Amino acid sequence: MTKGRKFAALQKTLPWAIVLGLLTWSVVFFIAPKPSVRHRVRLAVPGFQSSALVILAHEQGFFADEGIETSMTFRATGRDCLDMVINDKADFAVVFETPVVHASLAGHELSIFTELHRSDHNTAVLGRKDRGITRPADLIGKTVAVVPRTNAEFLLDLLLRSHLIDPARVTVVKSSIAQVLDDLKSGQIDAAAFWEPYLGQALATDKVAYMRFQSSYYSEFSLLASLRGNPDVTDDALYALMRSLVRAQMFFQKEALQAQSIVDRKLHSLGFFVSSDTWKTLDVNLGLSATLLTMLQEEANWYRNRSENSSAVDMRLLLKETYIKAVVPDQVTFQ
Amino acid sequence: MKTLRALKSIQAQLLGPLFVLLFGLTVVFIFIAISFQAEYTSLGTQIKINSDVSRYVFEVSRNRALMMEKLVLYRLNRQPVHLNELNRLVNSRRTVIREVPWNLPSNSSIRSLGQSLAGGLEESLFLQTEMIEAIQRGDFTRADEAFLQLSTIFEINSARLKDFSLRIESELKGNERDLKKLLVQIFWTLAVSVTLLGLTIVLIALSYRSGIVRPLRNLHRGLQRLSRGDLSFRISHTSAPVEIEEMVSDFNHMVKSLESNQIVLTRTREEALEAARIKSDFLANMSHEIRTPMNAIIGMADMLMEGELQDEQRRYVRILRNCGQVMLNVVNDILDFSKLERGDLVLEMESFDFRELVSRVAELIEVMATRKGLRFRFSFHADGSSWVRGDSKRTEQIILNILGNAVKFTDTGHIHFTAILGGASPMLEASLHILDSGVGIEEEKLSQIFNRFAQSDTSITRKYGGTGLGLAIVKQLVEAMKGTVSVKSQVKQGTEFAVHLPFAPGVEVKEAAEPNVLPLVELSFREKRILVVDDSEDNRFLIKAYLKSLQSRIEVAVDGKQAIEAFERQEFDLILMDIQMPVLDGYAASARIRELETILQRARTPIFALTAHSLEAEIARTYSVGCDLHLTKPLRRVDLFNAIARFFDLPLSAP
Repeated sequence: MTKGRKFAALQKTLPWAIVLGLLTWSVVFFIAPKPSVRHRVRLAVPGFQSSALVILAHEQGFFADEGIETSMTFRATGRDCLDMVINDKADFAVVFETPVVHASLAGHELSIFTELHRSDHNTAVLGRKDRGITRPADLIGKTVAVVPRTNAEFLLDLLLRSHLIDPARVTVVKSSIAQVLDDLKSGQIDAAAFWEPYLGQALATDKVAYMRFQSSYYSEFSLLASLRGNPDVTDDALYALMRSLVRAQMFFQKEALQAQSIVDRKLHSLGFFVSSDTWKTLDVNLGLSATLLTMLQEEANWYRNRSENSSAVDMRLLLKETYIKAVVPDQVTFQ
Repeated sequence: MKTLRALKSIQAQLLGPLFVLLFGLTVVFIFIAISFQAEYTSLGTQIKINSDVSRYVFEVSRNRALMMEKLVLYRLNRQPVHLNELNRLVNSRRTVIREVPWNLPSNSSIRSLGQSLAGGLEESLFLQTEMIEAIQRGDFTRADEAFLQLSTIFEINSARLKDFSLRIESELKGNERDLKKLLVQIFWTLAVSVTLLGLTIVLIALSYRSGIVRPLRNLHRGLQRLSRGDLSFRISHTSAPVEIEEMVSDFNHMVKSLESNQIVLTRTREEALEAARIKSDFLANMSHEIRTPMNAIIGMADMLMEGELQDEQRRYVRILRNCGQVMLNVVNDILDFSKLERGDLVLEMESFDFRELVSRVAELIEVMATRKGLRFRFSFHADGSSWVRGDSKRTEQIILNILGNAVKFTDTGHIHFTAILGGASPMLEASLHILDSGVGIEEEKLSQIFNRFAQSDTSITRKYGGTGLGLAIVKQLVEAMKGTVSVKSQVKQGTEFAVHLPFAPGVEVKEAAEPNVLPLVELSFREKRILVVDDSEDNRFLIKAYLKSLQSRIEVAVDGKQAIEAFERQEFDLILMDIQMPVLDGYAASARIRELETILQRARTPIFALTAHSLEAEIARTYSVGCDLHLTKPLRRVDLFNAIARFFDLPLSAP
């Protein structure tokens, strides 16, 4: 091949080579795998809509974007999730504040990194109307079931006291959530204190048969908690988790319906009951608030007063605000 | 140049899409700026709401602190003091709590927190009311229970208030940040909009300039060049609006048409000029052709008249001569008119006696009028000297023409001729009034009688004859002399001409005027050698007859060539050179003779040019080729003798 022919061939092939190179670069840049996994965390999550931010962060790939590889385990209650953390079967638990208070009083050293949601109406007392229960005062002399070591127990006491009813004048029986639902339906009990989505589930069977009581004093929170001293819970992992959760929160705020749909589908696929009404009472928001600290203290005081063995715990020590403050500083108000 | 044109073409093509693009972008940006208004309003509303809520929450906090203070005091003292004040405080708190717009903040989290707080506060009011009622009843145990419960709830609500206050504060800060950001966005959007609008306006201006102003300027330039007679200019087509393009096309079309018409007009003018030249040549030729035989006829008649004739024969000769003279007059009229039309007429300026002139003409006309049975009356008046300076020959021609017409068109009655010379130096004015009782002229034809070939009626030409040029010549001569001529007439009543001629004052000339009748003169020109050059045998014969009495030695030549040959052979004292001749004309022959004189070292021989041409240009030409004098045919003997006498300074003597 002469020089001229070589040059002509080069002239023909060079543009194609450039185009091909650009295409390859594009593929590598846009389609190539994201940065390698830097953190592996195990998450224990209750099958509630209040766990929305964690579910969204996982489902939308926000965790993965931050290099976090998550294994999520769903449980029926937050208390079960916290037990997994305590038993080193999970690094983080999504759990309501009451089990955290209990575990702390029991001597487990826990850390709370952020609130995941707050609600004033997620837990309530359902009383059977056929037993003459139409106002809180009607609970006097009635049998009311609660699941022990849950916020429902605290709520029931707070509700009675805020209406100046002596809790001793109400017969409180302890049960499991499944038993509570069955007993309430069958009339074995007159009333029960429990939470969503089981409240919705009970009302779905016969809405007019029950009277719902709530206390406006009580705010419940789902929290992201872990056991102190877990070597997998590193600072980097925590910052990455916070960034992922903030993205999830922004997504929820901007695309609320889509976000709710994703969460509902996920929970439904796992066999959990979901109710669209639940979303109306949830405030999905990250942060560490003064209200949370107060509620933790109040609940701790309440449980400590009921159990002489419990030692005093400063709930303030549980709140680890460094990480969430790095991403949403305005939402840390407890200080 | 081509590149520039191509660039201009591209620019013209790009202007439209660019304008649309810029205009579209401007509209989009303006809409964006307008859409910011809604966001701005919303943000402003949010700031106001959040501020209001914050203010109310502060009020709530203050009230509840006051309330708790009172309740604590009661708890410590266990005295039912100031119950009314407590009740008023509870009611006041209730009012304030219910006034707070908890539902209005746009942030759902704050809204939810606010509602939670409101619920808690409402319930605390319930406990406070319960406590106050228990105190009123004296049930202090229940009042204590309520107080204890209130203490717990107070903590919770305090935490909620704190959260809410911080959140609201944070939200307000966020609102302010958003507002600043929005204002910056609005500023930049407006800046871009204004810039785009400016660019659009510039583009419109450019488009206007290239699309309207430039074509109009080209059009203006074209019209200017057109007004200067430049028909080669064409406006190039541009991307101007259709109306302008049509105007440009119309202009180009108009210029093209004008150019075509101009070509036709130029051709027509050239043809007309050529025709005029041909006519002029024809007239000149005709002049020559008619004057030449007339020369012979009149000359011969004069010669006969000088001889012994019977009365009957003398009458015949007079008629012959008069007819010849009439014919000559016609030719002269035509030639005069031709001169006037070509602008060849040159007025002579000489002093002459105006009285003598008009009197002489009056005498002549009186003879004619009397002969026709008309009464002729002439009067003259002059304020001072009657000598004026002007062209006597043309003045005479004017008067003769008008008076001749008066005689011609008056069959019965009278002709009155009044001449008045008035005024003073530097200008005199001669007023001539000729009144006749002739056929008159119709009013509508009065304005045409000074037109050439115009007689008031064609029947007149048939009846009275004439060329119809007389009055046209009069008018042109009068105007050439800066005078005026006017006419008034009534059909069958007569006509009155009024002529006003300005003259400069003249100087009286003592020398007697040349006789206007043929004098019988003898001239002392014996033994002189005279060469007569003429192609017409009759003319040669006539001139020889004229010169017979001079007893000179006459040589003849029939053309210029023979004349030169004769001149080469011998010297002459005088050469009478006809101009228009075959073989070699008089111009060339005269010029050659002047050359031969130099070559042969001879003295200058006088050459008198004889022509039937009386056009000034031709007369001038005779002088330019070396002739010494110009004589116009038909040549009268007296004119010839006068010319010889004047040239050779010889005395004239009566026979």
